[in-house]
Amino acid sequence: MVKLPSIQSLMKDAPSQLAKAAKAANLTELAKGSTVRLAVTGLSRAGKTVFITSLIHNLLSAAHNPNRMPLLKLVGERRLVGARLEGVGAHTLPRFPYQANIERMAAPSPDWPERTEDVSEIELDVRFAPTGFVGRALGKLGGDAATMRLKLIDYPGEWLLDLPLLTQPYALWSRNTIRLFRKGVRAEIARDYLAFLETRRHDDPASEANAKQAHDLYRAMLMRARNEFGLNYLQPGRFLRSGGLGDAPYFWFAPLDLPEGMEPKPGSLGALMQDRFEVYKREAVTGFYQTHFRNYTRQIVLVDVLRSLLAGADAFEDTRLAVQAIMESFHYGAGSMLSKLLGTNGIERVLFAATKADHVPDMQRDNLAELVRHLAAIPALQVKNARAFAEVGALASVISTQEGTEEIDGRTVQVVIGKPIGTAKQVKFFVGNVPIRPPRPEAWGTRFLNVPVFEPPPIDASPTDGIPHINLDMALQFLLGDRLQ
Amino acid sequence: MSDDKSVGLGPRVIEVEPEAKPVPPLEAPPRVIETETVGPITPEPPPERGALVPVVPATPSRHRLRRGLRLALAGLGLFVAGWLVIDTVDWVMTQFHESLALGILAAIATGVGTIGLGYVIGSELRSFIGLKSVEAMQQQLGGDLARLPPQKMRHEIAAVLAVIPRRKETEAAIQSYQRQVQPHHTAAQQIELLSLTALQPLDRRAETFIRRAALQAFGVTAVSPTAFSDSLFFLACSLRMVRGIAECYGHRPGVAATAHLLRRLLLEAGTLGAADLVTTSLVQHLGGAALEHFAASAAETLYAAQRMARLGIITMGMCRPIPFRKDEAPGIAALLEHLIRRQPAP
Repeated sequence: MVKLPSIQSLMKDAPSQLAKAAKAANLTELAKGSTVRLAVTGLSRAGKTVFITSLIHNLLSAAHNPNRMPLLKLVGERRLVGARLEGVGAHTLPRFPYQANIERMAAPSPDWPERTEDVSEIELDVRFAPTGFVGRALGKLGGDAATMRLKLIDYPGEWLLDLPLLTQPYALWSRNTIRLFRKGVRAEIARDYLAFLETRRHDDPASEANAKQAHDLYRAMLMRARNEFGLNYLQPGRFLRSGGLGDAPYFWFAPLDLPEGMEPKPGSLGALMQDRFEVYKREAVTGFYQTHFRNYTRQIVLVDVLRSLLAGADAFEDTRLAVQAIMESFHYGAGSMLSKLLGTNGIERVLFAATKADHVPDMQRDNLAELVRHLAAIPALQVKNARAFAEVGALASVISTQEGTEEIDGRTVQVVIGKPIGTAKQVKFFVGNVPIRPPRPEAWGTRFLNVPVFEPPPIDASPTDGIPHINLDMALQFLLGDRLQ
Repeated sequence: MSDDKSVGLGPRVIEVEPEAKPVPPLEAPPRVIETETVGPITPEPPPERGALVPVVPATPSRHRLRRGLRLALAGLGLFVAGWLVIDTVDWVMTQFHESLALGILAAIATGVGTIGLGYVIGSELRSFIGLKSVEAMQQQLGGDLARLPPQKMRHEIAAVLAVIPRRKETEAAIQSYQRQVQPHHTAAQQIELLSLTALQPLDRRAETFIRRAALQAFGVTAVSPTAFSDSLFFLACSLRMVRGIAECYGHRPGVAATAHLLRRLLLEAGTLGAADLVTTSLVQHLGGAALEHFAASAAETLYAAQRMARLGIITMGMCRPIPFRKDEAPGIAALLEHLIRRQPAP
């Protein structure tokens, strides 16, 4: 678990937090503590960017077309006054490219948003009629509807797996990584790198050339593991997507084969790697965590469990490990009033969501959610122990398929129909049986890595009609419903 | 112990033939199948504004009497009907013997009476069967919704929509439901949507009846001179409220249906009453006579209103085609809070 902020830093932040509270537009907003930071977490390609885009577009559209989000009670009960994006301001981060994403999806040849290369943020104000006695009374006093400000951050999913590094020294991380890469399909991927380690020992003299060569080999191995084998539990994340940091010299490190109980000796290759590992943590990870992940109170963990399932036993186990590692990096449990005021409260609600539910026929969608329940069993248990609410579901931020049937081996089976990106003809995708729990070791079939990428449906770029989705409204109701009362 | 060894049963292992294997699930691997269809995919849109409401016959009641009892009742009914018919025919014939004019008059009177009786019986039966079918729906939809396939739930909800009374506001609410419900919604989500849309105007209307009855109970208890007149008025108010609520949800509360509702209401209220009795006894013991006297004199009128509101909520639960979900039933406090506000007449 990441260390909590020090008392000094809390005291330093307190005046600004109090000033922010004092600047609240009206009493209702002040009373309802109406800024919600939603942590959209997920591994690479889990659908974070599309989730944020669809969420914003559907909330902006809900005042015009409430039929897209009926299960978000705020909309279903017709209490939504309106939603609007916060105007351009002096923010430290680039603005999330919502407009560009929507225009790309609504283009004549629609496509999905580009892969996220760096961190960006966006804020959305949701104005609504409160229902509670206190909310209504204060609303009358303030002379206005209540407002909830929703803060969202988008970032490359690979970076999430850097967070667990914060609690690990180099020697431990190195040993664990090498041990993992000697098992199963990873051993095949790591053959070249493991062969390299046979010739370069940790106690060899420190050498820039050797360190760079180890880094390049290790980085290539991570790329291959992600692109060809669908693996996710790959550290450090910035080796796969460096963001604005480029290829700084402190990036040039890699795990070495350190025997149990041994620490790198000063002046050795191991010591050089250790130094760079620590600088990497300080420069690339700590700042990212402190700035963007410390103050979240709600979290959605997006898991592309279907892709992991179809990619085989190793990929599935890899996803489980990755989810577990990510969850260990967050602080869960509702805080006291004082800690809320100082912005140090933990995550109060977390939703584990199986994404791309539209790639699975209606009848098997619940199985997808159950599979995530099994996958997230240990993290969810931890969350519950910390007095935070945890829930599981299946969602599709955008529906890009239709239901259909197909005759396979003399039996009529359910399929989904979609139009793959860049093709003219539609295809039917038969997903096979989606089990409700991870298959037994002997029951895994051959790996299937060609999950088609379907074209987004025709949508209107202006926020009036919304985007068709599956359970996005349910997800928001669970995550934000209590703050929209 | 017997000496006959052949009789005793010793321990043994008996091999069991494996049962016939069930048909294995399809083990075909995932695949992408090309089609000749071109064009973009458009997820199924919700029905257009103003689309027709599907009218599906209500699901017949599953509650059936035992076959023997049914036969006995049918036999008894036939006997009584036959007796009446023979008696009536005999009476008409007697009148004809007296004079032609009297006979014709008796025949006309009998015909009109028979038509009237048929209408009353038909109306009673219709209202009673309607109420019973709603109870059957409640039982079906109040179970484990997670296991109900969405398709089946769509059919059940269509049956519910068919029995909802058609007024301007309910028509709009039903169309709102139809626009919102999507093919991917699960059974539980469909129920939630139905509660949020189509049942909202019915619930609001029923709540208005409850508030009015509670207000009347409040006022009359305050000015009523005796406990007997109190009770009499409370009973009349309850009866009117029960019938009003039943009408809100599309029932035609005839005598049989009203009697059935009151019987269930008594059962439900009895359960609650037992719980209240315990609470009251505790208050008496803990608070002493002074507190009891004060509470009885000062809060009697409010208590009557609260009682009426509680009976009304129970009646809503009985008449509503979909059972209330957790935390969905209106709270007594919220209903009484509105007592002092002006409510539109239902």
